[in-house]
Amino acid sequence: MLPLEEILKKLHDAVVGFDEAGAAQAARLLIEGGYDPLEGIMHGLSTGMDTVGALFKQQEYFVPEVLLCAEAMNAGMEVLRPHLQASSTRTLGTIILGTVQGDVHDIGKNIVKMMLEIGGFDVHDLGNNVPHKRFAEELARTDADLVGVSAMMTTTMMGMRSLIGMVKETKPHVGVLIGGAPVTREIAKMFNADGYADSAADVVGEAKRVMAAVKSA
Amino acid sequence: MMETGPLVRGAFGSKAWNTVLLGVVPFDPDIESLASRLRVTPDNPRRKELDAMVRDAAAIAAPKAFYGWAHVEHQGDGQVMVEGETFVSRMLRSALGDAEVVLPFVATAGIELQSWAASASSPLHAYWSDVIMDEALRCALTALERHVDARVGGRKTRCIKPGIPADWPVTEQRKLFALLGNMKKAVGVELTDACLMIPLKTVSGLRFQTDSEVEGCTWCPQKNCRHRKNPP
Repeated sequence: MLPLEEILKKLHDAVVGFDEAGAAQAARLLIEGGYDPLEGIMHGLSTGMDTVGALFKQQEYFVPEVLLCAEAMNAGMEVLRPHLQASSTRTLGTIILGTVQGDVHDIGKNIVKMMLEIGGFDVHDLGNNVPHKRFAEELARTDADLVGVSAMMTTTMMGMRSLIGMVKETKPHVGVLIGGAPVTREIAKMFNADGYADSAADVVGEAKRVMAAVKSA
Repeated sequence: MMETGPLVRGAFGSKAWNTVLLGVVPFDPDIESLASRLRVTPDNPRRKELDAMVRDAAAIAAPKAFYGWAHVEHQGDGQVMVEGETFVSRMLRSALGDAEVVLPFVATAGIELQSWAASASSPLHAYWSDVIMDEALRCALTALERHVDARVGGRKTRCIKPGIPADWPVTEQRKLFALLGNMKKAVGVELTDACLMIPLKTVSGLRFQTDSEVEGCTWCPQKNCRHRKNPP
C-alpha cells in the first residue's frame, strides 16, 4: 500500500499533467488504501488545480491546458465521489451564474463555472442571454450568496448596471461579481459590483473575498 | 468555392455595387495544427474525439462572405460618408486616408457550425467547437481577402472593423449593415439590437486600398492574438 502523501502527489501530478487515466488510477489507489476520499479531493485534485491556476496566471498554461486538466480532475472525482460521506460534500457557497441579457457568448462563463465548481461552490448556471427577471426568480428560489454575470460586448455590458441595482434592491446581502472582455475593475466599481475577476484563474479567490466581505457588512 | 457575382447594385438590398457572394467557402481544417493548438498530443486518449469533431465540423460547415464596392462621398472632421451612411470615427477617417472606394464586407463561419456547436456536452468540447468555428471564420476571411485583392489589383487591401478601433463603436455596425443590405438573406447573418452578429463567428467591416501598413489589428488591445497582423 502506498503512503497517503505519495498518492496525493500522484493525484496532483495527474491533474497538472492532464492525465485522466492517471487521476482515476491514483483515486482508486486512495480508496483501496482505505484513505479518506476527501483528503484526495482537497489535497490531491484541488491542489493540482491550484497549481494549474498558478500556471495559467504565469501564462505557462492557457485555456486548452486548463480544460484538459479539469477533465483529469473530473476523472479522479468520479472515482472518489461515491465514497464521500454526505457531510463532507458541504459547499463554500452558492452562486447564480449567467451572461447578461442580449449576450450569448458563454465560453468564458462556462470556464468560470467549472473553476467555481472545482473551488467548492454550488453553481446555478442560468446559461446565456439571461433576462434580469430570470436572475430575480433564481434569487427568490434559492439561498444564493453570490451572483456572477459576464458580458463580451460594450453594448450588452451596460445591462449589468441595472442587474446589479436589481440584486442590491431585492437581496442586499448577495454579492455580485462581474467579468468579461470589456469589463475592467473601474467599470465594476462604477456599476457598484462587489467583485471583479480579470480571468477564470482569479474567480474563486474573488468569490471567496466577496462572500466574506458581504457577510461581514 | 461557389461564387455568385458580380451582382448588380441593389442585390440583397445593398447600397454597394459590384457585390460578390462567396456562397460556400471550402473548409478543410488542418487537424494536426488544431490538435497542436489544443494541446492534444497524438498519444492523448482524447485525440480520437477531437479528430471526429473536426471531421464532423468539416462535413457540415458552410463559411460564407459577401462584399461590394462603395463610394466614399465625403470625409470630414472625424467622419466618413459612404453611400449615404456617415461613420463617425477619427481613427477610421485617418486610416482611410484619401481612399475613394471602400469595400464593406461580412464573413461568417455560418449558422450550420453554430447549430452543431450547440450540442457540445462539456466545457472541453464547447471550447474545441469554438476553436473549430474560429478556423472556419478564418477560412471565410482569407477567401474574402484573396478574392478582393485579386479583383482590385495593384495595392493590397487592408481591413478595419467596428469595435476596433475603440472610437468606432460596434453600434456603427447598424450603418454598415444598412450599407450591406439584407445579410440574413445573403449569408445568414443577423444583427441584433445589441449589435451582436449571429452566427457569433462573424466579422464585418470595411476593406480599403492603402500603401500604409495600417490594419484593424493596429488598434486592438489583444496584443497576444495569434491572428495579429501588426506588431503591438
